[in-house]
Amino acid sequence: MQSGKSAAQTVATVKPLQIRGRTFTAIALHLSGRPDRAFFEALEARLNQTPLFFDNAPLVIDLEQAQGLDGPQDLVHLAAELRRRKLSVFGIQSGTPTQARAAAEAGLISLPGGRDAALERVSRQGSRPEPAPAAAAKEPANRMVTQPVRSGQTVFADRGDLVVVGSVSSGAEVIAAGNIHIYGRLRGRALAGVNGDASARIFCHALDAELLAIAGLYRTSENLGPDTPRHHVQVYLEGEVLRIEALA
Amino acid sequence: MVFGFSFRQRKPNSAQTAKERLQILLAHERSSGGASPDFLPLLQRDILEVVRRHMEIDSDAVDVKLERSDDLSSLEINIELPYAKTAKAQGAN
Amino acid sequence: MSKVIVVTSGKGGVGKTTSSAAIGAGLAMRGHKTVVIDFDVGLRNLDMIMGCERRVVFDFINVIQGDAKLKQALIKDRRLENLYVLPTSQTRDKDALTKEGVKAVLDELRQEFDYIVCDSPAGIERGAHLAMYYADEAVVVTNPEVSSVRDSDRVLGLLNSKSALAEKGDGSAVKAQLLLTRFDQNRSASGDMMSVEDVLEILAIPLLGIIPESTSVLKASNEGTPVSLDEKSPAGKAYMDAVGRLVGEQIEMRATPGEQRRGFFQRLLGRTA
Repeated sequence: MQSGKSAAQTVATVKPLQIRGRTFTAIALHLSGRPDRAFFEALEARLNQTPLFFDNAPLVIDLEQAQGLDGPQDLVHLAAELRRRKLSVFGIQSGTPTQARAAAEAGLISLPGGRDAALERVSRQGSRPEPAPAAAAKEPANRMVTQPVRSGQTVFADRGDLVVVGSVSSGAEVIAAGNIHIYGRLRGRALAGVNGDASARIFCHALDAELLAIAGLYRTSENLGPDTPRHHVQVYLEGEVLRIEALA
Repeated sequence: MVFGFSFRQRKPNSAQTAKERLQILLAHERSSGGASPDFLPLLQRDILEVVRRHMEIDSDAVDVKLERSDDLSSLEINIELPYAKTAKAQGAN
Repeated sequence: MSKVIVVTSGKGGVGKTTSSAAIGAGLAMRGHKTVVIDFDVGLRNLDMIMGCERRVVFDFINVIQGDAKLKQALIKDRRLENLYVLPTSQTRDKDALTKEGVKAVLDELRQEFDYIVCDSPAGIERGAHLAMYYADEAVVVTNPEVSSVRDSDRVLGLLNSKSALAEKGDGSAVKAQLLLTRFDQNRSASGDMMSVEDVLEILAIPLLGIIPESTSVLKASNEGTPVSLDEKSPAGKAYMDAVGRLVGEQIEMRATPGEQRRGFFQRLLGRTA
C-alpha cells in the first residue's frame, strides 16, 4: 500500500501539475462550551499521557456543543493555544453559520460534521481534499529496533512500519503510522496506523498487551477476552471491529 | 527456650554487634548536631592558613584523619613540612 | 584497562549496597585493585555495610567540591589489601553531585584502580542517573518479584539511552547483566516465586548470578563485613561465582538450594546452619 503511494509520486514528478483527491485523517477535538483553564489543564494531561501520539497532529475543533463560541477573537485565541501545544489546528466542524464566518476570519476552514467511530478516542473523519504539501511530500520511512523496548520507553515510527526484534515490556509503548511487527512478546502498548491507516496491522510472536490500537480503535487488556489467541498473532481492523487472530 | 537464651547471653551475636555499631555511630552524628564530619574540610583549611603564616607549605600538605571508637575518638593531623624535604635534598648534595 | 561498573536496580531494598560491597570485596580478593563508591548522597550506607563507618573523614562530595583530595577521602579496607571505599556525604543532598564532578573523580580513579564499583541509590533520579552515566558495565540487582522486575526493566531502558556510552551514538552500549538476589529455590519450585527463567525471559539480559536468600547476608551487614568474605555461606559462594563471571570466567550456575530447614533441636539451640 505504501509502495503504491510512493510509485504514484514518482510518476507525478514527470508532469508539471497533477490534481488528485486525497483523504486525510484528522483528530476532532470536542468542545463543550468556552475553553477555560480547566479545559486546557485536562487537555495537557491527556497530551502528556502519550506525548508523541499527538505531536503536530492535524486537528479540527468540533463546535457542536459550543454554540456561544462565535467571535473571531475566540477562535483565533483558541487556535493559538492549541498550536502552542503542538496541535496543527486547521479547521472547525459542526459550527453554526456565525461560527463558520468567524472561523474563516481566523484562517480556519469549516468542514461538515464528521461521524465518530464507536470505540475510539481519536475520531477518523473524512475531510475535504485539502492541500497538505508537507505531509504529501514525505516518503514512508520504516524503523527497525533491534533491542527490547523497555518499560517507560516510547518508540515511534511516524512515517512507516515499525519492526521490533525483541520484546516490548509492560509500560513501554510502540507507535507506528504503518504496521507494527514484534519478533518477541508484546506486553506493553502497540498503536498501529496512528495517522488513520485502517489497513495497518500489528503482528507479534506472543501477545500479552496492555493496549492494542489500530487507526485509533483500541482494546485494552481487560477487554481482550479469555479466548484471545496468545501466540503468533495478528491484529487488524474489520470495519469498526478490532480482530485478533492466530496466524495459520 | 531456656537453652537458647543462655547460649545467646554467652556469645554476643551479630544483632548485638549491629546495635552497638549503630549506637556509637548515631551518638557521634547526633552530638555534632547533624553537621557531623563536615567541619573537617574547614578545619583543614584553617590549619593550612595558620601554618602558612609562618612558612610556605603545599595546599595538600595537611592530612587529617579521624578514628572513632566506643570511648574515645582521635583526630590525627599530619603536616608535611617542605623545609625538611629541602634540607634533606641539600644534605644529599 | 580499568572498568566502571554500576550496581543498580531502580527499586530500593533489593540488595544494591550488599551486592556492591560483596562484588567489590570479591574483586579485591581476586587481586584486582578495587574501589566502591557510594552514590546515595544524604543516606550514607555503604560505609556501614563495609564496616568502615567510624573512619569516614572526607567524602565523595568533599572531593567533588575541592574541599579534599581524593586520596584523603579514600578509605582503605583493613581486611583486604586491594579494597577501598569512597563514602558519600551524610549531610548534603543529591544536588551536590554534578556530571563534571563525577567525571573528574572517575577519571582520577581510573588511573589507579582496575575496577570502580558505583553503588547507585534507588530511583531513577539524579544520583541514580549519575551513578550509571559513566559506566562501562552494569549489574542490575533484581528480586524475583513483579515490582522489582519492572523497575529493573525501566533501568535497563535508561542504560540503553541515557548513559555516556549510549549517547556516543556509535552503537556502543553499557553491558548489563542480571544479579538475581533473595532467591528461594523452594518457593520458586512450589510456584510461589517467579523462576529464574521467568525473570530472564522478561528482562532479556545475561545472568550474572543467583544469590540465595540467606541469613548470612543479614549477619554480614550486622557485622559490617562484605558477605563474600563469608566463603562458607551459600550467599558468599554465589557472590564469588558472580564475581568470577564478571571478570570473564566461565563458571557454571550452581544449584542454589534454600537454606536447609533447621531441625527442632538445632532451632532450640539457636545454631545457625
